[in-house]
Amino acid sequence: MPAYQKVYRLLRYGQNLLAVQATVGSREGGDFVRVRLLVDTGSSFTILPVQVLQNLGYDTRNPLRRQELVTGQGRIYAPVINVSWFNCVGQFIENFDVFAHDIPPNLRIDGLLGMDFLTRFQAVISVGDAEIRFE
Amino acid sequence: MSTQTEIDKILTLEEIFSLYPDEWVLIVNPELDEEFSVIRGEVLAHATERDEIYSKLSLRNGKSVAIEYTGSIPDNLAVML
Repeated sequence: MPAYQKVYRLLRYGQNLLAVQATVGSREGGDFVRVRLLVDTGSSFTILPVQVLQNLGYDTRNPLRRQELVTGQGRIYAPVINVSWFNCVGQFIENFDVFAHDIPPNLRIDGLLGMDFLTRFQAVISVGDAEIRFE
Repeated sequence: MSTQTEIDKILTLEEIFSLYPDEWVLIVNPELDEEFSVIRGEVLAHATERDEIYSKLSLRNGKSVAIEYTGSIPDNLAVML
């Protein structure tokens, strides 16, 4: 049984969903926007709203690249943006690649925390306890 | 749909939820706890629609903000993205 450094609470959200809060640094790095993300093991990547990224100084019209994503609504080609920093459940990442895409507003959430983040830190999610743990 | 900008006044999250029920709010200079929950801050704008509050991000003028929805999330909200 591995020892876990820290356990963070997740927010129960709607029916069988878990959410989390995250902060995204501006291109200059000093200021941030805090958003709420759905924890989504069905998403390969972390998704943030287009306008939030643009307001933080990132050029979503000239991204690092565009990548195809298969969504429930069909295929999209989303811009990939390298943000100066991203902080979520105690994990701080500099130069983190995120996808700029708006998820439907009626979900009342800003974006998705994807498997890129969860895998990077070898996260262990307890759905019963609504917790996320890191070794 | 309505969006309004607010005067500067530091409010606790509880006060913000009470003053702006079922709305999206933009909280400037938020004081956050270690899990990034807002403790207090100033309400810069509030709106009934999420995308309206995104369009108000330009008002932050380089200050840090938190985006918060003050309504309850329906227990039967189900998602397949």
